[in-house]
Amino acid sequence: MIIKLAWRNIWRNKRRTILTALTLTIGVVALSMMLTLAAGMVERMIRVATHSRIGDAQIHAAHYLETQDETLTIPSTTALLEQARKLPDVKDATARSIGIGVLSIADRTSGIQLLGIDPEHEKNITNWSERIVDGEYISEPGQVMMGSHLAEKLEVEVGSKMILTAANVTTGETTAELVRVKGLLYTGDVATDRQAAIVHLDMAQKMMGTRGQAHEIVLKLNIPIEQREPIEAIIAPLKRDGISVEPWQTMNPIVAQMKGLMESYMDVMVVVLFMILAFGLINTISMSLLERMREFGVMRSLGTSGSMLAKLIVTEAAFLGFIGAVPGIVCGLLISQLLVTYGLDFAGTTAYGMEFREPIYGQLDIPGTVRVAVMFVILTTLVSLFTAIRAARLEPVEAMRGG
Amino acid sequence: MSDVVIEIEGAKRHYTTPAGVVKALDGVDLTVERGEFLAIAGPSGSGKSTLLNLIGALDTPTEGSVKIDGTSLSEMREKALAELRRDRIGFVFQAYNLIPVLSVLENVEYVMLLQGKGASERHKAAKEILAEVGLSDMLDRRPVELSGGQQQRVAVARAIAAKPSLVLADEPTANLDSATGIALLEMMQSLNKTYNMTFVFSTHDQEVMARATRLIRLRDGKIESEERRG
Repeated sequence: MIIKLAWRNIWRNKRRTILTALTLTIGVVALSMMLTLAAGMVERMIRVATHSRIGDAQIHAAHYLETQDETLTIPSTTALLEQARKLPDVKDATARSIGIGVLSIADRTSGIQLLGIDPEHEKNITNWSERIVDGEYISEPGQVMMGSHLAEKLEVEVGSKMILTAANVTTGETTAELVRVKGLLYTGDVATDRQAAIVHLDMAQKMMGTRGQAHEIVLKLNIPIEQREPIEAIIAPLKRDGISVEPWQTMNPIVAQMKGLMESYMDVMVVVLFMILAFGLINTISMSLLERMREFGVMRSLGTSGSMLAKLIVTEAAFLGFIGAVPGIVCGLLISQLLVTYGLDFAGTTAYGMEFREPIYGQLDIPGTVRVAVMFVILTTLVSLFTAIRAARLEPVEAMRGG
Repeated sequence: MSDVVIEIEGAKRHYTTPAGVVKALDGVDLTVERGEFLAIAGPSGSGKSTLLNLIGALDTPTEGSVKIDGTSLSEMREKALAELRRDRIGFVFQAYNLIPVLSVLENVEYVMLLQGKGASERHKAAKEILAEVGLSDMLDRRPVELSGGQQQRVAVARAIAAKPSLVLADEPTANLDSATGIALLEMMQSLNKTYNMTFVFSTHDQEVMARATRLIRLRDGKIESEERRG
């Protein structure tokens, strides 16, 4: 009976019910769109972070990450690399040598990060081969690839000849080599695009005096990489004394925490948005109930208990929340699908060391949208509690006088 | 169970207002026996509705006691009072006060539903009583689709459907034309006799007073006169 009464009661004033429910619907739609964008943005950030530089997991000599000490190369690089490539769910692994150097042309000079790569294996790890904006991907020593930002700064173009100077990591002796600009690229990783001079691994190791020894081994996995635990399970066999093996989350903890941060942020947004809506809701629910005080008095006089009356009022509010939330889920997901299909252009935006040049494509967050809708129903029900308790406590004769 | 349904001793109901204390009832003693058809008359503000509210456990006396079927209302908690109203008292209001979202049948069933009676028992009892008040063909109508007289007949049906020992009617004919009012009174008289239910009316209506087995006149919150008929 409570359900029947509550359902019929909310349709006594169709216009008011529809308008009130509509505010909830709009709230759920707005939050669903935000969730979709946030999920897309997090996915993009993870993809940019891993594809543009750090890969899915990395191996270094112990303490290299904290100190960036160039003398700390990975012991038995080749054996470890081979072992990594044979692990199940490892798509590929590549070695890198990392140091500092200077690139110069004519009177223009820039300090750079010297990054030696194995071009063939690197193609399976990063997106660099697809991100050449001019020229070609490097294939042999004597070629250099750099970010378009750095190229602009040095005023060089594909084919320009430059002097690359780097120091031997052990002796400190500097070596200069003539290099030709083979390709300009845009990776999305700001540090790489602005500072890195990417050369063949053999050339970098020769200049730095670290032949056969890499500073970094980068792994690409065949599994979803959002969660840390599955990655840890795959790379566990590589762990041993003297080296550190870490998933990408260690290298970029900010992006790794982004998903959790976004979820917390969205929870706050739900409450803030609901608080804004709540003023209207409280007003509507209170008005609707105050108008019916006399009726509540009659119901009490017929023997309806205070608790049953409170249940009726709370059920009405829950229905109202439901009527607003369900279309909110449907409309929210439909509209969010547009963000998934067409994306939203954030061109030029930089966040956490990553630059977005392409539109951000949303990712539908169905559980998130449903969670928001459920929160709205619960909050709407809570809003009605105050009035419900008040009505339940009224003396019948007082209620019949209009409360 | 004794034949006394209502026992009121020294009942007072005073309200404190910004203008001072209003003595809505100021020391009323009254005993009503089972099966009476009692009318309480008096000018506006004489305390008729207040007295009915005290008898119906809708309000509490400032002083004095009210007993229904021998049980003192002041000793009962809110839940027990709600059960008393549900099980032993039927109410008929001046403004009908049907639940607008329920059909005629559902309105009459409502009290029985609160009593926890099963659907088939409720339907049967409600249909029987609606047949007695002449509304068998309007079971599925909503109150808004009925005339005032029809609504008041539904209200009477609702009041008596659960077979209470006492029916309280607050100016039940006030909003009805005289012919409809008389028809309603005849119906209530018939129910009074058929079920030996006690009816207590507050009224200004001469027709009600003429049909009452006892007439009590209130003035300024006190019983001014009492007249037994038949």
